[in-house]
Amino acid sequence: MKIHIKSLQQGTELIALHGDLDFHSSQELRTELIKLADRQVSKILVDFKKVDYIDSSGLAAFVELFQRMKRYNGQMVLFSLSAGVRDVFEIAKLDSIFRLAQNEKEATSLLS
Amino acid sequence: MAKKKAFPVFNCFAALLASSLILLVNVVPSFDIIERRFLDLSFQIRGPQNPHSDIVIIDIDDQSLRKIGSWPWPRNMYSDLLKILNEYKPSVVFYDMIFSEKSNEEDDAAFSQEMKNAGNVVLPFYFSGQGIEMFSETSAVFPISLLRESAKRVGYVNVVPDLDGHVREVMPRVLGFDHASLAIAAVHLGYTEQEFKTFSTSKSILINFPGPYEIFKRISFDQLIENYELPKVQAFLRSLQGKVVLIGHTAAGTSMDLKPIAFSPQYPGVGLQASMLHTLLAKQFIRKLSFPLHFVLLFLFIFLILHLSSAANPIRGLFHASASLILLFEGTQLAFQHFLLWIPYFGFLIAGSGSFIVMTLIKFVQIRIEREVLSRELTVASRIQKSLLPAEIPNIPGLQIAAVSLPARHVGGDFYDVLPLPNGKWGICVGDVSGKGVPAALFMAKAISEFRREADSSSPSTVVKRLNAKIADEQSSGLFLTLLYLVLEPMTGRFSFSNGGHEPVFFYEKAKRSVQLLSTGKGIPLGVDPDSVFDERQQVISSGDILLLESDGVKEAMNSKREIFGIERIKSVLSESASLAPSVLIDRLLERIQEFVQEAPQHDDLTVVCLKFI
Repeated sequence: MKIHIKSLQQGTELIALHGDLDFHSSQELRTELIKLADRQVSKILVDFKKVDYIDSSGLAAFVELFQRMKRYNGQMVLFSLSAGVRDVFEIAKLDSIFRLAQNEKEATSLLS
Repeated sequence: MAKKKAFPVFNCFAALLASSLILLVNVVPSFDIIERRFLDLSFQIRGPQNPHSDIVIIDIDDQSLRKIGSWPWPRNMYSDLLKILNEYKPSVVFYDMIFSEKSNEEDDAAFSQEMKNAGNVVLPFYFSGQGIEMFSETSAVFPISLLRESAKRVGYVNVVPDLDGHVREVMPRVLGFDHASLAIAAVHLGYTEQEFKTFSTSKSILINFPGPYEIFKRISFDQLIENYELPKVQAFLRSLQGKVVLIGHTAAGTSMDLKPIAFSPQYPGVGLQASMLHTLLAKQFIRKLSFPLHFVLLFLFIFLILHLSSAANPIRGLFHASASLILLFEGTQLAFQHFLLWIPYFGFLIAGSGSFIVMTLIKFVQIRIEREVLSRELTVASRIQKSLLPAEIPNIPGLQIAAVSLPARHVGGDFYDVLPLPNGKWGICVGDVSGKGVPAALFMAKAISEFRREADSSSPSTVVKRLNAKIADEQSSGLFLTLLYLVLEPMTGRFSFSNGGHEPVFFYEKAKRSVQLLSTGKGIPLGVDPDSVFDERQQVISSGDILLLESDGVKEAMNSKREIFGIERIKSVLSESASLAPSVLIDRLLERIQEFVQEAPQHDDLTVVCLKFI
C-alpha cells in the first residue's frame, strides 16, 4: 500500500491510495489519517481509484477519521470507488454517512 | 521509569567488577603476552625512527667470513681492528663476543695492550644458566682475566625473552652486574661510579626499538679491513669520533644470536644492544600506564560501553560500542607515539566486547521476561473474556443453536449472545468491535454488558438504537462496533432483526434449497453517531431452515495468496451441510476455512452463530 498525501490548498488535503487496504496496510493508513485529524485538516479528499480491495479494518480507519473530524466539523469525501470497494461500504451501511463521489471533480464540488 | 534510574547504579557495579577482573586477569601470563603483542603492533604502526646518531655498528657478516676465513678468527684480528678504530677516537668500542677462552699468549697480550691503550673498550659476559636459574653467580662466563682487566667495563648480554619468544625488555642490573648496554652508555656519557649507580636501576626497561636492524649506521668488518683505503671507508672512519662502535656477529649462516622482535622475526643480538643503547641515549623510555589509572580508565570504559549498549536499538548500540573501541585504539596509538605511554589495549577490547555481549544478553532476557509476563496476563484476560460469552447455549424447544468464537490473538473484539427475553422470545446477537487485541477486548466487554442491560421486550431496532446512543455518547477512543441483533419467537418461527453495519444474515430456506442474504435498510456501525437510526426486517423461518450469523473474520479469512474466503464459499458450505445439526455445520465451515487458508495466520477474530428451526 502506498499513501500519497498532497496539499491542494489551505486546509484541504488529497490522499491518493494505491494497493489493497487489508489488515496490514490499514494500520499504516490509520496512523497517517490520525495525523491529519490531529492537525485538524478541515477538508480531506480520498482517491480510491487504485484500490481494488478493502476489508473491515480499512473501513475502521475511515470510521475513526470520520469520528475525529466530526469533533472539529471537518469534511471528508471519498471518490472513484470501484464497485467491489463500494459494496463493502454499503454492507456496513457506511455509504449513508460517508460522502462518496464518482470522481475528483464531483468530490471537490461536494466540499465547497 | 524507576528501572531507568536504577541502570547507572547497576552499570557502576558491573563496571567495577569487570575492571577489577580484567586487571586480575592481566597477571595471567598468556593474557599479558597478548597485551605485549599489541605493543608490538604499536611499534609497527609507529614505524621506524632515526636511531641515535652516536651509535655505529661493524658487522661481522657473511662477506667478512668468506673473505677472512671461518670462525673463530685469530685474536690479532681484533687488536688490529682496535688499533685502526682508535686512531679516529670513538668514545666506546664494544665487542659483542665472549672472549672466554685463551688464544695464543702473544695475541692475547697484544689485544690486552691495545685495550689498555684505548681505555674505552667494553667487553661482554653472559650467564649460562637456563630458565629461571639463568642468573646466578656461578653461571657467569667472563672473558679471560687478562682481557677482563684491560677492559674499561664489562656488562652481561643476556636478554630474557617473553613467553612468545619475543624480546621486549632488558634487566638493567642483575646480581650487581650491569647490562652491557648500560655499561656502554656509562662509558660513553662519562659517568663516574657514583653517578652510574643512580643511572642504573634494577627495574626492567622496555626497549624502544627504533626499527629494523638495517636502519642503524653500519659497515662490514671486511670492508673496514680489506678496503681500508677506499674514500667511502675513510669517510666512515673519520665520522667515528666520539661515537659508540658496536662490533657484532650478524652472519646469517653462523650467528646463533637471532631473536624475534616487533620489527623482525630474526634480529641480531648486537641490534638488541644497539636498540637498548638507543633507548638509553635518547632517553626515550616507554612507560606502561600505571595501575590505578589503568583501573579508572577500564572502569570508565566499561561503564560507557554498558551505557551505549543498553540503548533501545541493538544495531545502534553495536555501532557505538565498535566506534568506541576504534577510537580508544586510535587513542592508545597516539599516546604511544607522542607520549611513549603504553596503554594495554587488549584488556579494553575484552572488557568492551564482553560488556556489550553481557548487556545484550541482559536486554534479551529482560524482553523475554516481560513478554512472558504479558503472555501470562493475556492468557488470564483470554479466560476472562471467554467467561463473558455464554458458557453454554440454552436449550430452546423447537430450535437447535450452536456458536463459536475464535479470537485471532489471546483476546479479541468479537462477541455473541443468546439470551431469553421477558416476553418469551429469544434475543441473539453477533458483534464485532473494530480493531484487535486488548483495546478491542475491553470495548467488547463493555459492549456485551451494555447489550445485556438494554435487551428487553423492545423491538431489535429500538434496542440497537438505545445501545448505539449509549456507546456513541460515552466513548471517544475511536473504536466502534458492528452488531446484528435478532429476536426470535420459537413457537411461530417469526423473527425480526436490526443490523448496525454488520454482515448480513445468511438464510437457508429448505423449501427453496437456496441461501439468501438478509439485509436491512439503515444501520451504520454503533458508536459512530449517537443519533443513528436502524431499520428492522421481519421474516418467518420454517422447519429445516437455517440462520447463520457470522463476523467478517469468516468472510475475510485470507490465504497466503491473499485471496479471501468470501460470501459464496459460506453460502455453498451452508447449502451443502443444511441437513446437519448446527454444531456439525459450524465444524464443517471451520474445516473448509482451514483448508482454504492453510498455513496463513488468522488475522481477524472469527465468530459464527448458527440456528436451525426444527
